[in-house]
Amino acid sequence: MNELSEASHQALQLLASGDAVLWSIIGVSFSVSLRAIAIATPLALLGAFALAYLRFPGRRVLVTAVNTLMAVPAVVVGLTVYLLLSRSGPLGALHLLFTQWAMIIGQVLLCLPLLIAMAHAALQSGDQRAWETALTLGANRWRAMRTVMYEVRFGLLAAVIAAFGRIIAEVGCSMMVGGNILYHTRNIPTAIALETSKGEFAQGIALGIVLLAFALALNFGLGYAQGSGEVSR
Amino acid sequence: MSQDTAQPLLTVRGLEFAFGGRRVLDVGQLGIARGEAILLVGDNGSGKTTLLKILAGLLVAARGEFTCLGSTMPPRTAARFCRGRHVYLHQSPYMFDGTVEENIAYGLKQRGRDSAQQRIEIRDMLAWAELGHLVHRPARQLSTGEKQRVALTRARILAPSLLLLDEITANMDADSRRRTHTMIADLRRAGSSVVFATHDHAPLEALCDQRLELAGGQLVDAPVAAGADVIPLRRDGVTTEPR
Repeated sequence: MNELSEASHQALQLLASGDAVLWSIIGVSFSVSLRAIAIATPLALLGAFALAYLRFPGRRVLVTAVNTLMAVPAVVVGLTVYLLLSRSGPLGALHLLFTQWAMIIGQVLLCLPLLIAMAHAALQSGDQRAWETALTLGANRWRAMRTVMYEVRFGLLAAVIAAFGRIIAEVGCSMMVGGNILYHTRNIPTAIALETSKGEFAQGIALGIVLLAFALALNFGLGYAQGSGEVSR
Repeated sequence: MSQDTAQPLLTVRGLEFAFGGRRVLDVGQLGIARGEAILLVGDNGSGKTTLLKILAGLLVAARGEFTCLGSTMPPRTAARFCRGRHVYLHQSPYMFDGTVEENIAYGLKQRGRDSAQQRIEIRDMLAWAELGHLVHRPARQLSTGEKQRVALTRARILAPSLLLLDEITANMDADSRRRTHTMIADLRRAGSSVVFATHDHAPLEALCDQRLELAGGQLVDAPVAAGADVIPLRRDGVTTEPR
């Protein structure tokens, strides 16, 4: 118990002191995951919209595939990206392995199925009349799609937050394709795993506090955007 | 009468629509004149809503030849042509998340009207619909009758050539129904053609020039084409010149 309270005290001191290593790890984490979510979100929203509103052969199979891919472990995604980007892999010539872009590719692949599935569910729970009303009032298909998405924006926002939560906290994929290189590819989860394995708990706890605080802020933000959380009367 | 106004607004020949491998609509021919009001009656499931959505361009017919303002076109092109020109109103209107004013402004925004112009047009329309007191109210909090009047106002502000009304007075009280009928009569005076779909047609008979009946996806006693032109019939069976 004493050890835990001492490590927590040191963690708070580390955070307050502006420790360069600690803040570089936090910077890498948010920089990589924010870029990954920025790339994945538009792709996922278009995919989810197509699944919800377009009729094409194989749509049902695709929905099942997306739902299945949600359950793929991060290390499996990491392994796949590693094999693709390794020197002998099909994308080896790009020299992306052990760079932030390799981590971004891994995180995009990791969050896409979750994002598509949750956005699809949000769009499915919407109202077909929104799409028809937008079109009949003269919106083109692109604007009508944006209108429909705006109508279910809280569900879509929740999908983005859940997907971001998954990638900011994943360790397996980032460790495999990033290599955990300090100042370059060491992010919060890989740093926590490394420091804990060395028996250095203070930095791990400090980084854990940052993650928790961020998760809390995101959920407060979502809650504020959604209003009181009551059903509409 | 100019050449333009003499043309029927829309004629359709050989219209077919299938859903899930089953043909749900098979309309030989149908003509709608400018400013005409048509009562489309039929039981639930007879294909009224499907026909209205095809005429609005929201659904694309599997087959059919559409002549819109004198130009003949296939179903997909016709759907694109009709969207925005022909406005469809649901039985229970959809209100976008926003105020009454924002809902009415939606179609104007799609047409690129600037906000000052929008405000002027919206103010005039709200006065017409006696909805001025609701302008800043969240549209979803209105009663069914008020929502339907907002939906009609949202449509009228776009000056549609054809208004397709799907059982819009079904859930209204007598006062809301009377107000809605008055608004529709105004819309006709402003030059819009109107098609009412309903299974309770008695209250609407007086508002309409022509009555069509759909049964099992087919028009019963559909108007017969005279030569190449489809001339709508009045209820008494006398052919009418398109207005």
